Amino acid sequence: METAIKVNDKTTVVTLKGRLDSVTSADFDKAVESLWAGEPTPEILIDCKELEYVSSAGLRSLITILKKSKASGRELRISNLSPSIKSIFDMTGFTNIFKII
Amino acid sequence: MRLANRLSLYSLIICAIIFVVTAVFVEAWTLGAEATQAEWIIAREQNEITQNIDSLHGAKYMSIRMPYKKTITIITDSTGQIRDSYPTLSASQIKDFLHIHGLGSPFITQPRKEKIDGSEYMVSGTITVDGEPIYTLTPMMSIRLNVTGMKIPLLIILALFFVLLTLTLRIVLRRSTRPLTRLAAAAERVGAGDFDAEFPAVGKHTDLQQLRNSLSGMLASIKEYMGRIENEVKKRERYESELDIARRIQASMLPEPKATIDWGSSILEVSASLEPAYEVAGDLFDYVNIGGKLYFTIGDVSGKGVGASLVMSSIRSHFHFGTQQRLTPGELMSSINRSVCERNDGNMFATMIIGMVDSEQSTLTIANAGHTYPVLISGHEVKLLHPEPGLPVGLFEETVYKEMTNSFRVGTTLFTYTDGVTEAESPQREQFGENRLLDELRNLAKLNASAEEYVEKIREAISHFSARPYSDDVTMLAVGHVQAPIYKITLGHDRRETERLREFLEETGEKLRWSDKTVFALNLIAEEAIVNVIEHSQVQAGNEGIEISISQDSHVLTLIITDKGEAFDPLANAPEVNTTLDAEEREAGGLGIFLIRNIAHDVSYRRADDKNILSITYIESPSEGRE
Repeated sequence: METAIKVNDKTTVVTLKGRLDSVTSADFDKAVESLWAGEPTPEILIDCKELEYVSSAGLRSLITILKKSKASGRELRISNLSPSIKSIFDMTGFTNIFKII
Repeated sequence: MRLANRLSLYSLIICAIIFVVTAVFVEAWTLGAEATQAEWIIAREQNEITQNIDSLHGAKYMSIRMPYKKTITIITDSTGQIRDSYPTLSASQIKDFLHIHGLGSPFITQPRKEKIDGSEYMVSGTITVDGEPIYTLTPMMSIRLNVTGMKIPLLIILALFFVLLTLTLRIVLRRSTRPLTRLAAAAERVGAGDFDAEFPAVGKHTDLQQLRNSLSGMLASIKEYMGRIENEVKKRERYESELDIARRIQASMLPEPKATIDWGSSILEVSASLEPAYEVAGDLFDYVNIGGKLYFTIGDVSGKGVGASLVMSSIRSHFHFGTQQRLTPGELMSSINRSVCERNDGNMFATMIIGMVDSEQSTLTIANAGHTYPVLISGHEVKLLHPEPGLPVGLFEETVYKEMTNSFRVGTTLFTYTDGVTEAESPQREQFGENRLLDELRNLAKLNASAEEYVEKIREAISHFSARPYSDDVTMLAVGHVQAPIYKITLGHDRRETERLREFLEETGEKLRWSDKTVFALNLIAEEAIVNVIEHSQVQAGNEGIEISISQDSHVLTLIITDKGEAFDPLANAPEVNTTLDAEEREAGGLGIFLIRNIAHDVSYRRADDKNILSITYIESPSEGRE
């Protein structure tokens, strides 16, 4: 699982590639720690175009990011969810709490 | 050697022989003991003769030199008394002479013929200087032959004549045989392949003309015959290439030799093999899976080649059509029988077996039209079934076909075949036979062979037993009822095992033909279950294996996760999840069991044998994935 973080003007784009499961979520957590350090952008975008799979551990990671971004007053958005992952979001009520574009 | 030359050589030899014989004969005849004297008479001069006679007789005389042999010189005195003669006359000759001479008969001056002592003589006389008469008797033969001076010229002429004769004969013969030579030359050209050669005219000899006409006629026949053969060869080539096409078409129309009929909890395996003896086959096999029933058939059309294969195709069509109508095996056989009877100009018939496996009842129903009895293999037991044989199809329109029903539970295989199998002959003219077939099947049954293995091994056995080309099509079809397979994997107590889990699920998904959605769902369910076990289940060293087994019954997947840890019910201990809460209120974790519950159809836990057993049922939606 690869995590790419790119900081633009207003937005930090986090691109996920691969599977976000119980093994890779630990790495993901480490990788996104940089979001909270330094000069944070007002927006965070998580691009899931190449995200193949997410399990409960991955959902946990995402919820954690959501909480932290809310706490720091930043807007979190998730984009390009595949249909199967979107249905997981629906199932778990995540669709209501995340801003999905 | 040429005929003309040989004949002229023979004639030369004959002429030479005749010539030699004639010469010898002539020589013998004219040669006499008197030769010396004849020479003497001829050779000597007048004086000498006179002198000699003088010395002999003291009488004066004159002999007349006669140019013939065998001249007799007689010296008489004036009274007519014979004084002497040369050669010495015999008494009878003297008597005869006296008779000729007579008493004082006038001197013979005119030569005349006289018969003396049986031979003819020319008698002539003359008178000596002294007046003494001298008579000369010359054998007629000598006169006639007159060869003394003419002998050699005569022989030369004869020789020349013969040589000329031989040469003429040779030329004539050559000319006579020239037409034959020409005919022979023409025949040689024909032999070399020039069928347009002509046999030349042979002049007026009718027998040669006949020969020429016969040869011309023969050549014409050959040309015609060759033309016909060429046509036949072309036709045959076309026929064979068309037969080749027919073979390929037929081969491409054969049903798949292997199939797996998936009825969920049970699976039927169909395996068949057909090896035609000739380019196109008269044997047939086919099967149709429809409406929860597997119909299958095996048959043997009488006769071979194209006719039989056409009937075979027609039967297969009717078979398919009948299954669409959900006929039972007996009804289906009757229907096929009627159609073959209807169109039976060629008096073809076929032995057949039609079987039907019912998925719900796990039964097998068979109808038999005079075919070889099928073999039922149940576990390790191998026995012949004897469904009552009706007449082969195509004979009698009204034939009714009875049905026989057997149970066909998991672990049963039906092996059907045509008589090409049992009647396959070894080089020692021994047949493969039913007993050998049953023995081979028994051996395979002990090894729990699959339908495919039965067919393949028997096919191999036949090919080792009998030499190709086979005298009859060798066909078999086996239907095996097997249990749905269960796919298993054992993982370690480690999150990193999820990679192996992912691979296992991908493989299984391929075999069971899952949709992508199912693969995703199973991955999620399995991972959550495993992670739960790893996180919460206390396990002792040595008991770390987590076993996952998957089986599928139609659209229903069953996933069972077993671990040997201490008793732990993940379901009972799962936290509640409220999906309506805000982000701030939501719990980060605890979604594992929630996901399983919402994705799977059913989850249940039980404890048995010191194991935690989590059973999960997932239902694939029918519109996707499996066929």
